[in-house]
Amino acid sequence: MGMFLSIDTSASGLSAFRLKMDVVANNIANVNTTRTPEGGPYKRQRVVFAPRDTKVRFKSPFLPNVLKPVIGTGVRVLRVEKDDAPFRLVWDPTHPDAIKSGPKAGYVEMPNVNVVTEMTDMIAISRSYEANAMMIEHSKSIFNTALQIGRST
Amino acid sequence: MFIDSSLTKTQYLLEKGLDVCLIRQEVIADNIANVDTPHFKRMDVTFESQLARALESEKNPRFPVYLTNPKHIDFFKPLDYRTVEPKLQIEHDTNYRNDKNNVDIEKEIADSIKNTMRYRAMAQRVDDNFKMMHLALQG
Repeated sequence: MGMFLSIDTSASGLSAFRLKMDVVANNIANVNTTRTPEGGPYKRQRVVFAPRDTKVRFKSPFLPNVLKPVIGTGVRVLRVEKDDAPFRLVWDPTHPDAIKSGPKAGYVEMPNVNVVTEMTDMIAISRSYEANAMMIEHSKSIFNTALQIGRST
Repeated sequence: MFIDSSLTKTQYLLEKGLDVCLIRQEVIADNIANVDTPHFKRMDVTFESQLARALESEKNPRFPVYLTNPKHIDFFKPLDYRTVEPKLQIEHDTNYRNDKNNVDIEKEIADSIKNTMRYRAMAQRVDDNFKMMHLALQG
């Protein structure tokens, strides 16, 4: 806090994107999981982000001082929620988790994870992570510059 | 005498500029941390343009007005550069992606690099200022 606020802000971004990357890794690892403790195939997870400060931001330019925008302090993870998209159906009657009766008999419900989506998410996440890491470098360079003031006299 | 010298004014302006650079760095860090947050709107700091206007206004009184009564209003009122403060502005009216987020990460990184270089340049000038004072004090 205080002087090094910008570094803390970037660090919040780093940990949020790290968590998002963990969730993507978990989705990819469970791409073929058909059995879970709560029953049914694995459901894709996704992360919900929100700004860390919960202050409402008004659009009007004519505001009293208390309502004026303040500098945000980064990002936080609200929750990890489950994706309720329909499952993939794969024809495999010999599978132990195949549907036994009804119009879908013989099909296996596979998780609603699309590997291509997860891979593109992964690239976007690593770029965002790098951007936050770069911001820490820049802030560090600024503080180093400030430390050099008055050294040479 | 020393208080009102141009060296002190330069010093004041540079210090203010350094402060604003630090604020801007915090704002850019927040924008980049929220690059993936739905409905987030980027923030911006405006300072330099207002400061330039204030400095310009004290430089040239364009149109001398003859006032015969203290209640007359002058056409031209110079702004004091000491009253200029950085302003935070939220960019509400643009959309960059479908989730209503408008952070352009490349632009933010470019801004951050510019900000860092500006900070370095101003810190260098502060240092030079101190050197000049040092020289004057040594005689």
